[in-house]
Amino acid sequence: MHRACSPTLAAAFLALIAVAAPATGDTLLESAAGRYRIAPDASRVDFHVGQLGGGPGINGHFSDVRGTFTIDGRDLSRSTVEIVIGTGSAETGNERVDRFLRGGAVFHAEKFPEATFRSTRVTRTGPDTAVIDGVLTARGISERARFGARLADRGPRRIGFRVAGELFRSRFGMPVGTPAYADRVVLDMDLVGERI
Amino acid sequence: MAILFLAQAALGTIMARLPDSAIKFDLYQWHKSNGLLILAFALVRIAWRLADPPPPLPAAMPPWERRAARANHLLLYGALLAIPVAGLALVSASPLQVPTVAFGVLYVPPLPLPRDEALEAALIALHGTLAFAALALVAVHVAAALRHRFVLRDGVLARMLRPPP
Repeated sequence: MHRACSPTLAAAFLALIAVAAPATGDTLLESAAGRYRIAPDASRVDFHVGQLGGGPGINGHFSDVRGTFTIDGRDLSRSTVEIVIGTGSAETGNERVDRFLRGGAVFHAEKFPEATFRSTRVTRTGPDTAVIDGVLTARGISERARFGARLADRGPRRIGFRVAGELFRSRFGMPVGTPAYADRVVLDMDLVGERI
Repeated sequence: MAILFLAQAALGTIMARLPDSAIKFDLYQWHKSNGLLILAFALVRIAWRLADPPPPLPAAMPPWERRAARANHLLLYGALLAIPVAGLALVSASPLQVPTVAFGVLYVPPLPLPRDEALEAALIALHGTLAFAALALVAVHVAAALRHRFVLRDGVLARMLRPPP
């Protein structure tokens, strides 16, 4: 048997395999690295508050969502997120409820027009999931908060995540309506970022 | 019961005029809790009255006065039932579907009414009208009791306040 592969052919073959093989997690991260601005048209922050007796509870979303996030290509834990929500933008489909949420009993939007979340740490929990710890500030009160994130969608200039978490609103000075209305607020978000 | 009723009427009038606030929400829930308490008391009182009728009216009392007294009492008992039921009905008809939790501990399910803002508004008006009509009945009731005491001096008021042995 004579020597079948020339060095050039072997190199070419190896290169072909490397390109054809699926990207590893790290390669995914590297390609997603960068700074993004949250796209308000494609993003959504939904909230849900349960009520006693099995009724629908309070369900709505914030139409004013702004922010940025950075993905660190070499070390995900150094990624950051900052989200700002206009508290006057809560919409439930019922004007009476919306007005109540904007008013002094809940968000007091006139005095506290924004609620913010600033991450302190991102911890990867899987190939496309992470836990985001940070500080949530609402109604002038800052408390630690934690959210779970899952990569939902990505393109060359956009990347989207499903983000979920919950908080207890009495800790933010809005306990009105408990126990008839739950203290626990469930947040469910689609956050889409555009590269900047 | 009289104190509860008068407090309730005052609370209902004041709370509706407040701007949106946590206090306003809480006062509405107090008002609902109080209303259910009055309803419970009213049912007990009516059962008691049916089981243990009051002593006969004084022989000297003319027929028109007997009829007026009977009407006033019937209407008052009716109001003590109808007003809180109208209250529960308006809450049940409200598209807001705010749960009723009496005194923060007892969940009271809504009545099976359609969720309709117009119906809610109509029931709010009915609730208010019945309440003010009842206040008028109470005023007549109190005036009549005082008349029995100070004008007729026929012992009827004493009987109301302390039943005969």
